[in-house]
Amino acid sequence: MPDWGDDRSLLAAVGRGEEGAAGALVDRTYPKVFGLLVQLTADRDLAADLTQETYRRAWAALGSFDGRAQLSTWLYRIAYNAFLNHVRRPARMVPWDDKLALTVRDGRAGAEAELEASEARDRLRRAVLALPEELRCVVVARYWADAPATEIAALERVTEVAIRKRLRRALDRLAVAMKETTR
Amino acid sequence: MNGLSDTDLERLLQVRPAPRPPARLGELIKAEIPPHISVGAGPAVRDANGDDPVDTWGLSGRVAVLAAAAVVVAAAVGVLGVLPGGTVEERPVQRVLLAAGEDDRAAICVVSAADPTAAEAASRRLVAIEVAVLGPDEAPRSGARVAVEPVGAAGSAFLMTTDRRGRAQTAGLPPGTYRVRCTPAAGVAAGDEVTLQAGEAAALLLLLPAEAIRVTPVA
Repeated sequence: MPDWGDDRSLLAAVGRGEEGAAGALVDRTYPKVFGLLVQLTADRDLAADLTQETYRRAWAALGSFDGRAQLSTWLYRIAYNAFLNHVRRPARMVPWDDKLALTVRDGRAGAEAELEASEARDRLRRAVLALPEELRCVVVARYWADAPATEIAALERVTEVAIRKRLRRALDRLAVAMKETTR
Repeated sequence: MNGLSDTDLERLLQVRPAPRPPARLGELIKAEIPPHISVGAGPAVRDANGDDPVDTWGLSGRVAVLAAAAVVVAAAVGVLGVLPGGTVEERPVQRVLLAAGEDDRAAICVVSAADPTAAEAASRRLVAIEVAVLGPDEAPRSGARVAVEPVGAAGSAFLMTTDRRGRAQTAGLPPGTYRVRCTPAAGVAAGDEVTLQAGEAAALLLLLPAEAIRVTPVA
């Protein structure tokens, strides 16, 4: 299979209909999309469903992708919207369980610390979901989708300074929320 | 864990277990690749984010909601008149109680149907807000009161109640900044603020932070 180089070259190959290019695009991106959706949903099965849904939407919208954002940032936005659409369809909501967050209970050295860290991540995930949308989408993009501030600014159509201010406000709120949940 | 620093928070946000995707997920996705895909310049990225058409409040949806709302308004208080073609007018509907000591008037924009083309152009300038309310367990909350009130504009507000799917929606509002507040039947309120330009729609997710603790007296 040929090496299509960076994302832009790969996209061009997909556009030319080169055999295997679209599959390579999937191979290159889907673990990250799945990881983001696991963070958002805390459910592997649901995240897998939403990952498939993300690519269905991506194929439909690929013709209008203008390359102003990185491919990964563009996919992040589609995945995030797929998640939001999912929670707006509560009939498909699955109950929270802790099978993902609490995976270390075996009493080995360090297991206690790992359990505590897992519980902290769980509380933090809920605190992120409880943020106002304006702040939540920035936190998800920056920390869970690893999108640079410049890319997020382009997606949100605001300045990079505005994004950094939102991150500042979000971190302040998260610190308060984490403090409250440990009381 | 008191007083987490920025570094602590960022480490918690960034250092996470890397989940391994299910074995066949990549193959399942590849199996759905359409036979012909084209890539090229098009609308802005934001327009190509793959939103579900059902949830994006297209023009026809907004017009339909506006029409339905206008009928409701007319039936309820008889304020609907034939407006000059395409103009938008904000009409007071009823007084609603938003919070203790604070009351305001609900309002909705009514678009005339006398000139369909002008009315359509006018309706395109209006905005819509859709809210999904989830409890701390992330399950939908029905029957929760949701107030949508403008910020920094003349005081008029819109009051809604979430349906069995935890959803509430309104349309036909003038562009601007709105404060959206949800007060569940029991528990702590949640809120958000959104600024909408002409023709935009927002979908907000409100996750209620906690619910009231019910205490059962011991007999």
